Amino acid sequence: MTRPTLEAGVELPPVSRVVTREDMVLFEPEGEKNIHTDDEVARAAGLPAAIAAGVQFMSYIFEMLQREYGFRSIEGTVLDVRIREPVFAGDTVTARGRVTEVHADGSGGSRLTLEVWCENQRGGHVIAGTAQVPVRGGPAEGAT
Amino acid sequence: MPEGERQKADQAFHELPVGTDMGSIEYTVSDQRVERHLRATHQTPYPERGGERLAPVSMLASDGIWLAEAQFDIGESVHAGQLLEVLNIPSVGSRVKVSGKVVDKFEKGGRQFVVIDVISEDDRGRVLARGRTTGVARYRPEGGDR
Repeated sequence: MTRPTLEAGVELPPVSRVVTREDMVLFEPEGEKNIHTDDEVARAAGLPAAIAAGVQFMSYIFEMLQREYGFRSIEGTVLDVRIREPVFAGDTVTARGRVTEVHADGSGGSRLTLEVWCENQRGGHVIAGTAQVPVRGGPAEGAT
Repeated sequence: MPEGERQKADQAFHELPVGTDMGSIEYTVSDQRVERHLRATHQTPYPERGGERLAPVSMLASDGIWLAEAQFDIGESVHAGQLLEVLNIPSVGSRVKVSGKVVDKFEKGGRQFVVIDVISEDDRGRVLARGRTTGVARYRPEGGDR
């Protein structure tokens, strides 16, 4: 893996997916009938149709972080998001991230803070928040 | 939802006082569960570590919801926020215990929120993750009067 640039302002390569009804059903326990899997249940709840579970998109952010910072960065990561807009089957959701702070962790690695979010094809933020990611191995470049 | 472990109670989510012990649930990180999650999220499986197969940590993000759903009626609730601190990656085949309690309730924009702190541990005694799940206790779409 190419060592990532550890510098505030850097944007991560996005991870983009088209959300299908099958994804929404698979994300829920088998046989589950709820607002994420069933249009009628969703409509009874005042929604126009079934919506994807918001935490489904945390997985997109985890994948984006893992691609950039490697498998070893997963343990120790803190992801904190707010769920903002509903996602419907057929929507395209793109995970994005931007480094906001870089700190040396005192043991040769770095701890990054990132602004992270997932946006839909209309540019609306589906989920948004922050990630703190440990990057192990070697001194941080551009540490603040 | 942990297979065969659902036992919804009558008490509504929004009635829970701060400090309420949410009890615990358990589930197995089965091959089937992992495969289902990977397909749903289009993730690439993690590499093995020490000959051990690992499950994606994003599976743990739903633990707070499963805990709440197993114990209380959250039929009128929606997930509003999630914090997840990953400490250890779950192993395929392991058993996970999820426990938690209500730590806050507040009202914002005319909606009632409930905050639950959750810990997910495996059968080796490792803490896999600490989570904070925020839910809208009673969701009403804008202009709605459900």
